[in-house]
Amino acid sequence: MSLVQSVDNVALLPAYLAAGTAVLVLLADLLVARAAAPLAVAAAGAVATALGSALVGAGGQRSTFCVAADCSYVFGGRAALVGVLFALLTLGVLALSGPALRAGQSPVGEFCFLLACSMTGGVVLGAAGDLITLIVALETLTLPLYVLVGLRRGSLASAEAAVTFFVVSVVATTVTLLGAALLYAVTGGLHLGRVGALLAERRDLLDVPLTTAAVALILLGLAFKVAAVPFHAWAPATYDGAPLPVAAYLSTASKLGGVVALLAVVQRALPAEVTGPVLAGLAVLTMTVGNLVALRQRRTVRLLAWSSVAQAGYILAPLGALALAAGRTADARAAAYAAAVAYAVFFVVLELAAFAALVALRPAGADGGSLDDLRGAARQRPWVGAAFALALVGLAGLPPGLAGLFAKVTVVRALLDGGAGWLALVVAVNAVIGLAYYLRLASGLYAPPADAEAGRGADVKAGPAPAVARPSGAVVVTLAVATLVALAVGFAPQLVLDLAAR
Amino acid sequence: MSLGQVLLVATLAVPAVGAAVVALLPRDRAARLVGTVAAGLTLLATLPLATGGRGWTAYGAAPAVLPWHRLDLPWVPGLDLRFHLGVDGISYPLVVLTALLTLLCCAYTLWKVPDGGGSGRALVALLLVVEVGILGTFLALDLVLFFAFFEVVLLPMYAIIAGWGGPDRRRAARKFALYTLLGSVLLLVGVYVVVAAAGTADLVALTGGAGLPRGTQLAAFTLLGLAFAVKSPLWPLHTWLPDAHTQAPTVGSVILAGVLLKMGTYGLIRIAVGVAPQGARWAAPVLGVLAVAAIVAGSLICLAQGELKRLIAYSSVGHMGFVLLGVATLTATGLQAALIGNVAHGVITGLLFFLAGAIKDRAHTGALAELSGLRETAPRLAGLLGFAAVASLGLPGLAGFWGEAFAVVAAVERGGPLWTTLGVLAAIGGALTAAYLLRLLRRVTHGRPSPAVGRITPGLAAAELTAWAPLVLLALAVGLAPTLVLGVAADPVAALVGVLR
Amino acid sequence: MRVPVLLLAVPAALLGLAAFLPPVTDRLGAPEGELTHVGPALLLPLALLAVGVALAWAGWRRDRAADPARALGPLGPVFAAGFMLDDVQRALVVRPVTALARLARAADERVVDGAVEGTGRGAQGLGGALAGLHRAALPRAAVGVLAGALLIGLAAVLIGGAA
Repeated sequence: MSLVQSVDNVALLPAYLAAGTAVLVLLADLLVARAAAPLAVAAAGAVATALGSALVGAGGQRSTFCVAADCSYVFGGRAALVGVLFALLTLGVLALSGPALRAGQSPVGEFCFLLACSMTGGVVLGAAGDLITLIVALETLTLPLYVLVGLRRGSLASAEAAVTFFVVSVVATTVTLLGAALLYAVTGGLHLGRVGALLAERRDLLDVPLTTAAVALILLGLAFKVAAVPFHAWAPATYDGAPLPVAAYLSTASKLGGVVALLAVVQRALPAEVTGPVLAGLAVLTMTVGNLVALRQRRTVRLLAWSSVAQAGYILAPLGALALAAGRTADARAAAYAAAVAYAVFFVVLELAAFAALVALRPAGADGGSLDDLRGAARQRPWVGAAFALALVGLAGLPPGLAGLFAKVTVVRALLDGGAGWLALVVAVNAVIGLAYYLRLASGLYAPPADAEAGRGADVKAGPAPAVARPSGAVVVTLAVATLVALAVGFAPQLVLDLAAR
Repeated sequence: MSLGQVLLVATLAVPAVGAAVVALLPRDRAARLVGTVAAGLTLLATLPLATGGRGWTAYGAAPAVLPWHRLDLPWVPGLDLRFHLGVDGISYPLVVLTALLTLLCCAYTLWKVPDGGGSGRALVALLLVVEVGILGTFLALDLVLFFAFFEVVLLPMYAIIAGWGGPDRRRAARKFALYTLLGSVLLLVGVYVVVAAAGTADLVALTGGAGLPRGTQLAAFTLLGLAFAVKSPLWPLHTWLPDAHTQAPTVGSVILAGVLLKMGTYGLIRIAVGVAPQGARWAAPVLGVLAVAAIVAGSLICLAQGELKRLIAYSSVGHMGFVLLGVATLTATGLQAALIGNVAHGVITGLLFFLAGAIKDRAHTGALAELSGLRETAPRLAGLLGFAAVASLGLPGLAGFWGEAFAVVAAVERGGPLWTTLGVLAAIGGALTAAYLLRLLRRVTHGRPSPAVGRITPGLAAAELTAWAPLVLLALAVGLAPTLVLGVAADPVAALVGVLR
Repeated sequence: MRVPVLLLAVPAALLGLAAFLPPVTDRLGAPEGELTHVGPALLLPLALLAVGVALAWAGWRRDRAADPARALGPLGPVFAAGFMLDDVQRALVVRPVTALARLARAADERVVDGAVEGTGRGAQGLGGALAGLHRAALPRAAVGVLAGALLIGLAAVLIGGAA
């Protein structure tokens, strides 16, 4: 075996682009005095990364850093999808942060650099072929976020959120690493494909309690990243303390990262007999607890945070079908993985649209505020309000936002294909609970101001409504693009389903 | 693309485009006018659908569903979803009824926008979206497409209640949305239980069971039956209905009672019974018992009810009980009774809600204790109310008679102690129906005018008469010539009963 | 007024006798003697009727100012109220039905709808209780994560080992 590996630089191109963006942002921040320079460089880099991922992905699967048949870096269809999504989400979050950065809330150069670093982690994550690459990529994705969360100047909540996030995250990473180490001890492999093949070949390994423990620990550590219950407690506080665009990034890109990592290990490495029940349990807990607690939230971002906890449950749910023998046929497994990816894609689009609308409705640099702060907002800004309502209704899984409807349908279909009707019923009941709080938020947007409601019927003039600032152009464009994408994939969901199945 | 296919697409596209245009037009009155025109064009597009091939000319056994027109396009193969539309004798009367009622509601809104703060423009746009959903539900020949349209209706109807309703509208609207969403997610699970087992969502292929194993059929019928029972609504899953009706604006109540509930009974006949006939046979006694319980309980509750709109809402529970009893018998007579009962209830209850709305708007109260002597101050309004009430209690010669009488006949014909008892109890329920409607008339129209009624002027607006006249005429026409509905439905019902054996 | 009364009274009194005319009975297609079967069932009421008419006439002759029905004594009101059938109906049918109706309405609002509303309130309450659990400071959150990982890991090992 030669120690000098041949490196496929084309496969690595998206990672180079993403990492290069981070470096260039730093340089731009140092060399150009204008605050807009790093933003522009970061945006251009994100576009380039997206294009690079799409182009490399279109050319078929490429692998590099291989030892014999096992490769640490595999850039295929899934990796391309993940790379493009990460780059676009980063671009969207950059656009959303414009007003906050202009208001001088956070240092521009550092903000853009950290975001680009995080994007690099995400791009590599999609292509990770062994457990170490996977964990390192995931940490590259998460580490900058600790700082980003705490980057709001003069906000105690922000600093607190950052510390909570950091500590809980470190604990979770430790758990994952412990699991990976135990798995190495049992199988002697770290490459996902190799571990998977070994466990499929030697069934007796599954009887060793250590194997089960290792698998469970890896899963649970990764469950933290998707904010699955019981590893979710950091999410609401962190989202609420973070600047709004960072909360958007946390609930879309960071969550997507967790899903990708989970899927990678579940699909390629770990035995479905063990992962299935654990994931089914996590899914049920996550969606139920997330939805129930969201019912009682009075702050917008906390409500969205709990809702995104619940949404993580729906993403995990199709994988729960693996718990049953009927769910472990090749077809049912493929359907379950594809459904999880497809739901995640629908979800990030809608979630980004919701956060974009929230940023647009709030004053520059403000936090999400309480639900009452948004009361009647859609009457003052009908288009933004309509887009917000559409995104929320989509998240609830209902028309007229067809994207959300098809997302729900995809999950239920995958579950019933896998014979997990009970889990489908749990998802169904949760959809009802979910609608309750999405409706509360959405109908509040259209409600008359509180004093007008009290004097309804009488000719009472509404008091001075809370002023809704005019949002910046970039925010509006992000919102419009996210909404249009949501509408487009609503009418052509097959696009997403095809991409997800690759 | 044949003319029929163009019409099918137009039936859905015209209101959809109309809703978009109405929402975008800046001027309120012009927008309402455009919406009314769109609703009128939709009605015009549905009428020629009746022309079309009725016969089965190819070799082999005729399929259980034989649409007059159909359109079948691929949409989302990954979800087994095809854009598959069609119309036949079971769906056609409901399609026309939907288009008609929406047109009447839009025209009514042209004259009067309910209070509540929302603009008339938005209300008309929402009415048109609701129309798209209901028409799509009746036209869909693909299970998944059916489900999608079933859900389209939910939030616009929520918005209509929450935006233009009475004082307690938010709570009522939320209850409506959550309760009926529960029904529709059960429908989703039921649909995919069928699709996962059969590998197709094509209703034409699935009707008759398509060789689904018995266990699957029982599970599917349970889920689908529950889903449609919530929507219909079947006692004891009905409690969203009175609140929603009482708080909804007049046009909302008319659409809700007139056609939205029909999605449940139509779905029960076309989807639940059609796709899982073994399940239907298995569950028929339970369904029958619950239907009769709905008739009796609904009538009794009406008898003790003190609010006008709430009373009419509960009367819907009783009337839909007759429809569901007809379905539960699984005989040709019963299914025919259910179909004509559906249409009759849509026409009569639509009219009743229009009249109740007119009375409440004028008297500013709906409490029966505060209403009396309407015939003294507004004789024409009182007369129309009398007509509608008498039609609703099933007087022979008016539309309400056929559905109720033949549901009872079908139950008795089915024979056996259970069904005979159910038939007798349903007949007693029919007598109670007469009792509460006559009580309603005695309270509202007879006696000395109460202070609330004393203020009412006798005049009726031209817009009101325009909106009500078609319903009065239809109640008479369907009553005198039931073949208007039964004639077109005879062949499809016979085919459906054929596969139930 | 006299003409319509005559027009109605004369046929009312006489048309019944048409049952004895063969042309009418033939038209009606009734079997021979079916319509005009003179038996006790017909004669007894006729006789009673005649007695009643005679008694009433006699009473009227005795005192033209008084009401002959007074002769019935305590039975008078009963007869006047149609043997109290209305009261019997009210007691046996109407009252139970209205009571049942009130009961049905109360049951519908309290039990059936109460269950629905209760479910909603229950979900709200559960949400509140769960939300209360989440107002924990950092150390408890970290401990919670570790404990959760430990518990689920143990469960997986135990259940996975048993399977």
